[in-house]
Amino acid sequence: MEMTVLLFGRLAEIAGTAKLIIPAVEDTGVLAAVMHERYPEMATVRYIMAVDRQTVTSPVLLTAQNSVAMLPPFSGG
Amino acid sequence: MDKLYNNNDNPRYIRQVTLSAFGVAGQARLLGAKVLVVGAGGLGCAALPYLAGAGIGTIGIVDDDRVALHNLHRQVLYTMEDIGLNKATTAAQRLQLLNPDIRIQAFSERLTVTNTLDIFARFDLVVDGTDNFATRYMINDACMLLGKPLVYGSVSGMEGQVAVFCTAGEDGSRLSYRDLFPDQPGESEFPNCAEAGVLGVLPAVIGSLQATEAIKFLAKLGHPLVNRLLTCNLNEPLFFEIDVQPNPEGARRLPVTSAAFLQMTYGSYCDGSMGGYTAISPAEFNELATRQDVLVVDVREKGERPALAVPHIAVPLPNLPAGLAGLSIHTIVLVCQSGRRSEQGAKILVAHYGPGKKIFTLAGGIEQLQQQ
Repeated sequence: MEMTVLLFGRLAEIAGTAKLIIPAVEDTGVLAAVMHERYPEMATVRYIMAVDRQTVTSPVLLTAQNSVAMLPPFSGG
Repeated sequence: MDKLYNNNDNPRYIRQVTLSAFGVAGQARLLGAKVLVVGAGGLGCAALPYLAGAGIGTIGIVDDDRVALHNLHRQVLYTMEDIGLNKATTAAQRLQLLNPDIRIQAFSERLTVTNTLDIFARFDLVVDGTDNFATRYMINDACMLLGKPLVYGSVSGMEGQVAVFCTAGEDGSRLSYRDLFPDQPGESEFPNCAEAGVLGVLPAVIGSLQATEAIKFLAKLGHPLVNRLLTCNLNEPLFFEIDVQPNPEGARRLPVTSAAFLQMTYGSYCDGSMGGYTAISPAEFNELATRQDVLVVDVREKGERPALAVPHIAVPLPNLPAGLAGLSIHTIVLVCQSGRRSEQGAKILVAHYGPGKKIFTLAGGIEQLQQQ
């Protein structure tokens, strides 16, 4: 089973893509660990996660049906 | 004003009054509204003409910055003749020509913790068109404290974001930007437009969306983006919307009284004092740079262009303060491309030397110097 991860801003720059399909993981904490292992620079970037378009403030369980977005803050104007 | 309220056939607004969902009532609401736009840069230049054109009765514009040549590719309210002039007053004059029937007030000062609450209190809604985290968090906190709806907008690379915060959503919850990111990031954590570059149309898209949300909110039109964050990626292109959920960590960091707000430290953009160092203009820089008892330090990386034309030493920011070890000179002027890295360098040197040395930073950097 696979899941979709949408990346924004600096995170998309680091990954070189705005959309990743990765093997499904059990929760958002594991997802962060997987992403940081694959792209170590992401561990240094501040970001939030949204699961099925809802921001999450603590780790939540995931299934392959969930889509996850990772968004850093923007400051430009 | 009464004429405008009562005359349904006023040709200026007839095209939007004809919209059935907007109508005479929508126009009356806009004419009675007071909107403050903080920042007359890329976002502000896009939002302001539509707010003025739509007939927002009172528009305030805050910006202490001056028009520079490198602004003109995206800040299209300005012309070559405006270079060097204050953005707030210049924008106000231009918009008054577009719509003489409304009241436009320019604040040519920097927004700081000491003037924010006073200025915000005079308006119904705030549009954030700033370009740094410090001012954004200060605006957010002030809007939460005063109960002013905030139309947030920001850009990065080829992406931008818009949201409406600090007003009750459909479920009654009143959220803020701190529900997304509770803590203010450091200015160096993410590059700004000066450092990362920006396509001129990006702030135009986002600023127009901010004007749209402000007009929708005030005219009670459609579904404003309250507690929803819309991200726009011009590369793909795609629009992606998320619901913002309450974050107790964010709520905890909000100042809940005016006294607490005045005690907040957002950083040198907002505290007005600049914390032990002094930002100087290109004219002041040119004067200081000729003095024998002054050391000019270029804190950019090796090879960055244009080269600095006055005598100086090059010590890239990561090498501060060690790169200055052993220098006995008392007065140091830091320079970089846009003024941001030199400001970080100034903080490092103030922390390192304390009051033992006089530290200056060239505001606006070499880009500003070249404008003169």
